[in-house]
Amino acid sequence: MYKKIILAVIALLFLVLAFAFCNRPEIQDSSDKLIKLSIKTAEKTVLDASFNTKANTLKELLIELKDEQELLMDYENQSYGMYIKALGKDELYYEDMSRGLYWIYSSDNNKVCQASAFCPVADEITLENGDEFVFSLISYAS
Amino acid sequence: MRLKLLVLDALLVGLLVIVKEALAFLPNIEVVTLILMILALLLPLRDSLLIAFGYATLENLLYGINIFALSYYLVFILIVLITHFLIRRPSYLKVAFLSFFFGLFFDVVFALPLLVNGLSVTIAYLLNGILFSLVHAVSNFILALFLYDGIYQIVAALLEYNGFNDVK
Repeated sequence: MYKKIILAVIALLFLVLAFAFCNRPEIQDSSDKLIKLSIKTAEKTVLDASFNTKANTLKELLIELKDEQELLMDYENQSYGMYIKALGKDELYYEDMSRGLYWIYSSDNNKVCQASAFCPVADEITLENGDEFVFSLISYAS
Repeated sequence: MRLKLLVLDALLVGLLVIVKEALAFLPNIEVVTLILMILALLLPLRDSLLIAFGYATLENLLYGINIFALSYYLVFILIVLITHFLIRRPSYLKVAFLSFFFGLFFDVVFALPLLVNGLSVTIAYLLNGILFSLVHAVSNFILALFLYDGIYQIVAALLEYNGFNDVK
């Protein structure tokens, strides 16, 4: 019986180690990066500029730019991550569910967006030097 | 005698579904693999294959026929075949290690239909679920360590009670 218990403990330890290995924190890149952001509504391009940042994720960058008043933003931290309600430069452009108007964002070169074939929540988008993002206020109303 | 054994096969299929559903709330923890291995050790090959086939059919009917339906048949039939031909003199250690590998490679068999979408999709699916495969493997190992002797004796006694002493 002791042999069985020892084997079971070894197996459980193996499992715990595997979980610890798979859930270890990723090494974050805190070097300077140049990130290009474009913010577009249906009528015009509100912002089209590049920013130097040490931010690791798109969420961190957006909050940093908001704090530095490089852009305006209204957002909520939902259970799944950052939910952007409004963006702008001199004024905020809000989503309007009644008109089917939503903010979406895309990137042609960010690795996370490319790997997923779409951009996931901004919290999960890790930044690399040269990444470009386009935020668009799109109407899905038929 | 053959008819009696067929009835017993049907009862064992039902028993497998019951124990599977009873533990369904625990992710990737099941005793179906262990019981199927024991049946493969104690019953003639055609009966243990019939039970594996019947069990896979019932599970497919319960959860719906999809692209993984064939994998379900394949995985349980493989468990029976490998156990039957690989373990000559059964012991709890042999069964525990074999059920560990069954748990580990369960998803590999399940991922086979995904090959139509490409190898990279299949590998991504497997890597995504590797921790759950490990949970499956380790839980199979531990369950076999502690339950093999008991279940083996119960099934052997059941066969003996019904007059199937030398059924294999």
